[in-house]
Amino acid sequence: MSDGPALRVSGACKTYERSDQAALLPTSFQVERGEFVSLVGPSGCGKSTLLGMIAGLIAPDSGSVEALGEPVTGPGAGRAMVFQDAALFPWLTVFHNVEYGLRAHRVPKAERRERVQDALRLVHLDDVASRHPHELSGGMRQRVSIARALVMRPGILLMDEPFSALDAQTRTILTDELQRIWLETRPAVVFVTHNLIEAAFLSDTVHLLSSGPGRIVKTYDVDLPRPRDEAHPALLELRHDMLDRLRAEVGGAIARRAQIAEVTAL
Amino acid sequence: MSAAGGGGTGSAGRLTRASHRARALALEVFRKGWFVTLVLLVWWLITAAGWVDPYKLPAPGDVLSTLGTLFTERALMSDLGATLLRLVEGWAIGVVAGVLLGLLTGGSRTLEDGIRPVIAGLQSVPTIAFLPLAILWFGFSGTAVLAVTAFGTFKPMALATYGAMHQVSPTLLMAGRALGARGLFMQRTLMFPAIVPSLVTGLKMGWSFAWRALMAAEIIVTGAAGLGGVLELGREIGAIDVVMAVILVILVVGIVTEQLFFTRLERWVNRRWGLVGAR
Amino acid sequence: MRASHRFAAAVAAAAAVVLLLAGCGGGGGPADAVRIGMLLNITQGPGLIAVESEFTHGLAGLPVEDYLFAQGPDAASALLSGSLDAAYIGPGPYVLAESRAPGRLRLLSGVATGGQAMVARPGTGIRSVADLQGRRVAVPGNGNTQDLTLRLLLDRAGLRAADQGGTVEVVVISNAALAEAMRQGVVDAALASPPFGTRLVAEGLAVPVPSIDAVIASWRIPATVLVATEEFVRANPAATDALVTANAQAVDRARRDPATVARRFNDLLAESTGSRISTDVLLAALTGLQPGTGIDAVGMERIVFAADVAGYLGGPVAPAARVPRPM
Repeated sequence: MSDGPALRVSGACKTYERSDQAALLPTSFQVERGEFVSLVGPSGCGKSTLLGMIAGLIAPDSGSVEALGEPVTGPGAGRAMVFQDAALFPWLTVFHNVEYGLRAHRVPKAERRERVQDALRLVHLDDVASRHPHELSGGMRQRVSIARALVMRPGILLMDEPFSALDAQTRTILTDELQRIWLETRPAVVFVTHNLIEAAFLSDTVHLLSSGPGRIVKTYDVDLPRPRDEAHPALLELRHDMLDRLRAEVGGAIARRAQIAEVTAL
Repeated sequence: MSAAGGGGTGSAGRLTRASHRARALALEVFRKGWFVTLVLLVWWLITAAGWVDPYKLPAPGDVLSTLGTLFTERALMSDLGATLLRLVEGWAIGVVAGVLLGLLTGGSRTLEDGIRPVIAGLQSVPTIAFLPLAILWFGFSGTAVLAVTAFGTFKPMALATYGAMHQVSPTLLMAGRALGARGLFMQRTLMFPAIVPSLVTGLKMGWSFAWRALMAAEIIVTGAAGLGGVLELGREIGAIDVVMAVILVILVVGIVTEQLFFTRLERWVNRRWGLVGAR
Repeated sequence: MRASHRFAAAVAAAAAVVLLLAGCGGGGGPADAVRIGMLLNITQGPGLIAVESEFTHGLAGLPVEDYLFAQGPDAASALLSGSLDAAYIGPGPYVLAESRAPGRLRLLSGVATGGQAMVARPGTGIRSVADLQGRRVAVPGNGNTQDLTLRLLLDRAGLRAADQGGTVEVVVISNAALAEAMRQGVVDAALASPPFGTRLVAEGLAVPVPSIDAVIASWRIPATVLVATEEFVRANPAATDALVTANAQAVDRARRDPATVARRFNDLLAESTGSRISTDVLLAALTGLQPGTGIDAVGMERIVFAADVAGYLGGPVAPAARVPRPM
């Protein structure tokens, strides 16, 4: 692996076919190796589009994305993704779900076995390896999904609102778990969420995005020692800051939209 | 029915449970059997009253005894065996070919857009229309019948495969792609298992299409043994009891395969794929 | 209460459906047309030519409607279901219908006798009935005159059909498919309805088997008979009489002038299939066929016997039903 940042997004933008407004204006940012970065914002702010571009599942209209020193043209082994609804393969056992990416990359069987077991141990699920996804709780499924990504030993871990479908308790537990796992494995992480406290708690850097059109409106650095505590006053303060900024943005967006509606109504 | 009518004091619990089970069983037998019983009763009544000439509608008992005679004297068992073998073979070939075509071409827009409308169009042509062609290619024999049966299954299976592939959750496909699955590996390890639950429904449909094509072809190519030939024999010698006996056999085979095979398969797939409540 | 109501409704509905299915059929009374069925088969010559002369002015004031059927059993079913009043069919389908619905049909007259020809695939070396052992022999339909004649031949030679536990495979192949089956070698021999066997010989796909033909000819088996529904005969005696007379005239004409039969057959064949058969082939096929209103009692007996041996009969065929009863 060469030096330089884990990820460099340069002027990437996207407008979807059946929309008159850009889903994402030209956006640039950088993620250092081992850095935890969150993209936060209301729905429609382009954070999932941005993540899709980094994953190589969505092509930007212009601009470029460079991951681990290589331009992104499609999915790559260096980047692993965790989806909102876990997106596990229901017909495979937990073990085989985690093994899937290794099979796709033709990793030899013995090595696959070892790496899958390590990954499952990391998320504390080595005892349910032979179960099927539908036999697990939502939180366990999401942990399998994290193991499925980590088993690829990614330089960059991409997470698309991974905890948003979970109940509050499970969510808190998993957020803690994720911090621990990240401290043990230290990939660069791009974490998409609309939960401000979650973002502040986990991240080194938080990019706040706004909608209509989607863009980064402010960037926060969270310089707190780890492991962190969710009740840390600095976190709460940061959350307040972000919330205020977001309120102003959303209000502005609503006003702009109302203006457009008036114009088109004429 | 209620075996535990009185019920001793000591073993009342067990007896009640037994009587519950007996009642549940009786209820199930009634639920599944009342219509058949009713039809048989009305059928018997009409023939016994002499309202209809027996050569137009033979009595249920006569059809049953004809069925017995067919088994003992005409070796209907070998006809049934030949038909079932052909059915299973034709169906299996059609299923494999249809699913393979769907999987191999469904990955590409161009391939699918070119092929799918043609198969959909062919689906409106009765399969039996291809029998003369099959006879020229495969000879005037069971092979031609088998080919027509396989083709009759192939068309709906290919369409069902295309349809099922469009139903697969995009997130699941995205997850697979993000993990590095591509091309044939993707179709084999992700697309195929993902469509299995919807394919089970397609399998049943394919089975009924196979039956249709097979019977129509067997009636025409009667050289080889088969139920269709017996059906045609009954028609030709004006023996409606033979025709009804064969229909009865086909009906029973249909019920048995549905209950013993398809229902179980469906249940297994639903459990394995977590489609029934995760209990 | 509600459940029992629903049950009663279901019973009523089921009864209605079954009655509807079972209870159709024609009513009696004088007809306003005579509906006559026939097959596209050269043994039906008298019927085929009668349609364009003897029948054209009607029968006792009733117009004639003619219907062409693909197979004898279809025509027999049409008679029994009341959609035909009379038909030219082979003795086989008539005997089978009589055995299952006794007294519904009446044998009015003979039409033609003989004319059946066995042909074999070249190279099979089939020269006698004994040579059919272990062979596949085609007939145009189960229970028709060729099928019954073949079973009679086998029975006399001590052989049995495969469906009766014997070694000779009797397979049903339509006249249309016979040439292809012969070409593919699917069958070794065929007892086809005239003139389709003769045509195979003319096309070089088969060779005649004269020794078998001689045996069949000696049995004087009826090739075609004229039957009517008992209902029609009772309600329309004058028309029945006229039908029998017109048939006798047509039979006489067919005997004196085979060329007319050949031309008429070819016209009808061209109309229904677009193809023609050379007149020479047709005339050759007609040489073995004797038009005549009589029915050889022993020949008819043989057909009943063959149907019985084959297990086709639904019940006994009364002796009275085996001889013509014009009125």
